[in-house]
Amino acid sequence: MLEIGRELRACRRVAGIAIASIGVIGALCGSVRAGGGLTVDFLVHAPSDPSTCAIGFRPILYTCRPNAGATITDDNTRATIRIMNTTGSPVSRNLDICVDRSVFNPALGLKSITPFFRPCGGGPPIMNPLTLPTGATILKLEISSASVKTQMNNLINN
Amino acid sequence: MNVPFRVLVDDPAVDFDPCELDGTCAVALEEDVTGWRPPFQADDGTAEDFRRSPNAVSLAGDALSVFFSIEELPVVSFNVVGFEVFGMSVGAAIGLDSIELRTATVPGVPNMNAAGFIAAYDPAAPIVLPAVAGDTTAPIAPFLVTPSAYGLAGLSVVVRYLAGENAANHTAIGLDTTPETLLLLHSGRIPAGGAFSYEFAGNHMIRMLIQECP
Repeated sequence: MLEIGRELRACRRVAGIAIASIGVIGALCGSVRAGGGLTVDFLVHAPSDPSTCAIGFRPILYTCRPNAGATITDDNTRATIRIMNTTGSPVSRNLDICVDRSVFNPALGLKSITPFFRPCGGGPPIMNPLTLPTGATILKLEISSASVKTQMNNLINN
Repeated sequence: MNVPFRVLVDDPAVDFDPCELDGTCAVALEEDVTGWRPPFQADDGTAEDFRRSPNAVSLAGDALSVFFSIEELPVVSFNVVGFEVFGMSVGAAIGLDSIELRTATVPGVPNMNAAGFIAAYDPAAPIVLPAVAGDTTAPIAPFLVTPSAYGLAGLSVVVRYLAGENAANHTAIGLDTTPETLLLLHSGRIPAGGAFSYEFAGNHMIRMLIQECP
């Protein structure tokens, strides 16, 4: 069952990255999903519309962007996660979001940054374990903390 | 910089490593990559060299340009709220005439026809850069750009010179020549009345300031 995620990744490339294509993914990975009963689709993206949590598929985040007010604008990092539970009953699971820091420093590895993500529009961070009901659970999260974005900006511009 | 992310849905009973799947049943892992980019500029913020007007003695209309490809622009409508130029005045520089936003029908090449003009910072007085190299911000009234407005190529920012600058007295625009940050075919030189040519040595430090629409 460890292969579920890997199979999903392979299928996702075939199906494209549209969250809405979960039905297609399910069809392509039918045997895998039937075996695991849990699938997840994941998209990290920039805010297409800062006032809502709409998915814009704009993949690039801009940091340290000067604007007319002589202030700095850093994009929020948004994550849209869709978990499909077809086990037939609610399941308790931990949800973690990790970043691969090796792109900043080869000596570093994966690190969980789950607490940095909050629901779009505000709210408490994810409290594990989550109870996932049957069917689809869609989470729209974002990093809006100024201190975290400042760190991100420092990584990019130094 | 492209940053890999990973989401894991794991069994809490055996979840020892938050970034690896430890469970063996009804667990899942998915990955995605997002790009992190500095602001809309084709340079890394450090000038290794400088450029002046394409003609040795500048003519009115001499210009330097920087191109912003469609891949670097938001997919949603946004406002262009100004420009930023890194450079300096050498000697008794006359200054710049204007900074223009133009369409680019061919990647890297601004459309210098009337139809290519979008907006400009064009004060009555010359735009004189500081004596010590630094950023000069040129705000304009927010100009709404919709993705369809710039077609398939992108947008260009064009800095226009006034006539009469020379080697001793000129406005020098920063040039980023660091190979790692070089975006070839993004910068160009346009002598008054002449043909566009790419600047292959580096990127002009001319930037576009934008705000996404709320």
